[in-house]
Amino acid sequence: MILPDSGVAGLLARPASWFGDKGGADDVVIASRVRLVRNLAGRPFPGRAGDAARLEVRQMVREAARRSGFLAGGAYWPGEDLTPVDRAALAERRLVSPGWGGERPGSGVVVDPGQSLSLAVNGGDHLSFQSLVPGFDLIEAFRMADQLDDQLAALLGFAFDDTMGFLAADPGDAGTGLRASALLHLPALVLTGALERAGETAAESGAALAPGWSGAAGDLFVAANRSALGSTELEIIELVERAVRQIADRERRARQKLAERERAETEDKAWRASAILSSARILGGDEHLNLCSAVRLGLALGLAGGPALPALNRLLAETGPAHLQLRAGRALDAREIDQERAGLARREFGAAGRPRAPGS
Amino acid sequence: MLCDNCKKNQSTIRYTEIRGGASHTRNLCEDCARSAGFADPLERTVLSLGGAVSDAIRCLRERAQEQPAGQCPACGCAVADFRRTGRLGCPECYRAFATILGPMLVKVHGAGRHLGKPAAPARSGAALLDGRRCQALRRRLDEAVEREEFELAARLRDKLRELEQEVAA
Ligand SMILES: [Zn+2]
Ligand SMILES: [Zn+2]
Repeated sequence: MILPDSGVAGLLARPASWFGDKGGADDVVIASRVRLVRNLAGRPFPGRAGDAARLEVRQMVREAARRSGFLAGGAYWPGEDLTPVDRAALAERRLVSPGWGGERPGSGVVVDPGQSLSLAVNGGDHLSFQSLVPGFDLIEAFRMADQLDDQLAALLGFAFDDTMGFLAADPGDAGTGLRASALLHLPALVLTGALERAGETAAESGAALAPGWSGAAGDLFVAANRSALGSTELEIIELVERAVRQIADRERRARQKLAERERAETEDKAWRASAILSSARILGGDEHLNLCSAVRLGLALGLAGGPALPALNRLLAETGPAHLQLRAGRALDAREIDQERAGLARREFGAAGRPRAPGS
Repeated sequence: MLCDNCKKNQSTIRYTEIRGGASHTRNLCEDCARSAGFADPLERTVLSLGGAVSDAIRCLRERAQEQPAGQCPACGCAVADFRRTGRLGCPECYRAFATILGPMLVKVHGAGRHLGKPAAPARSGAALLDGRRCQALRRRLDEAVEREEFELAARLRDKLRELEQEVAA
């Protein structure tokens, strides 16, 4: 049993706000994220800084986070104090990006208790912080990230140039340092072969649609802005919002079409999927995602039962290999991971008809 | 199957990119996938933006190669370092490499001038933002009513009322 104060495992045992337990879950737009990248003026970027310089930056950022209203109550870990599984689990929970460099001296991470705000220190840039909210609410995500930015900017001097804006280690992030993205579930567009057209529409408005998982497992996709320079933050948010709205509308129309023309097939697929999820003993990662996709579609069309959206969102994170190992409290090999994943799914789908205790 | 990138390690990650209406699949090993940022879907986008940004960055690195070897006086980062890693060494690098970075930024972003928030935090963005949030909520409310999703509509209406009170306060 994991105690609430036992490090990363303790934090991740609690639901993230993006699961949508407190409302806001959406059947097409799973989560909205806004990430900002910032660097301290007059200091080498983390990739070029020595250990002493990195430790100094971490100390400054940590102090600023403590004094900022938003992250004052957040959990903080120096990256080098975390195990590889801890670090991977934070990425599976989408609180940091994978390859954030948490293994290097001087790195660190701050996460607010609700897991809607998180900040990585000394990854590719001195600071990379994000706001992650359930459903389709890029404006709320931006509002939170922007306010945190103001608080941090008042405490730390950011590297800034009048022409090039906020300076980042990767020139692709220069300017606003902003990346707005939405995680989308698009099974009907995939089934009806209309996905590429939706991607082109997104591209026309300056956004990009990309597979969320390898091989687009689970019909999960991500829409995000392509550039960070030459527009205001709100213009970028609006552009991604517009693209997401267009894609979501197409998805909903395609779902209706499926409900009319392939009703029995869609219903059958959803029930078969939930039967496997409630009884399998070995479950691969992609297989799990694809089965959950069929269940989500069935639920959205009212053709099948199953766990509510927040529970499905939680499964999305908790069936990651690092989450499963944290839960088990030990390292697992690939086979054991698939077995643990099946166990978790069985519990969720076996219990789908019964109400869940909050936070369990 | 061997990794398409390094051609050395066993590939473990299949990665599909939609580009120009066609999807391209690549098989990567974990190291290459991680260094390309592919392990997280929300970050991965950078490299899969229909190829546009990644092409631009590649092109940007090629451009850097054509330039005579220069160094940033502040951090010692050389054009060759940037070409290899795709990352600059410090804020001063932007000035040191301005002649090559300027056109590159235009290529990557389609623009070369920052129009976003200024460095100093004192500004009046919040009111503007709240106005925009009201607008966006109203639009989503209308859509929900149109789709007859009344439960959602009720939630959005509450949220809108809450926000309007907040703005008025
Ligand atoms: Zn490789
Ligand atoms: Zn430099």
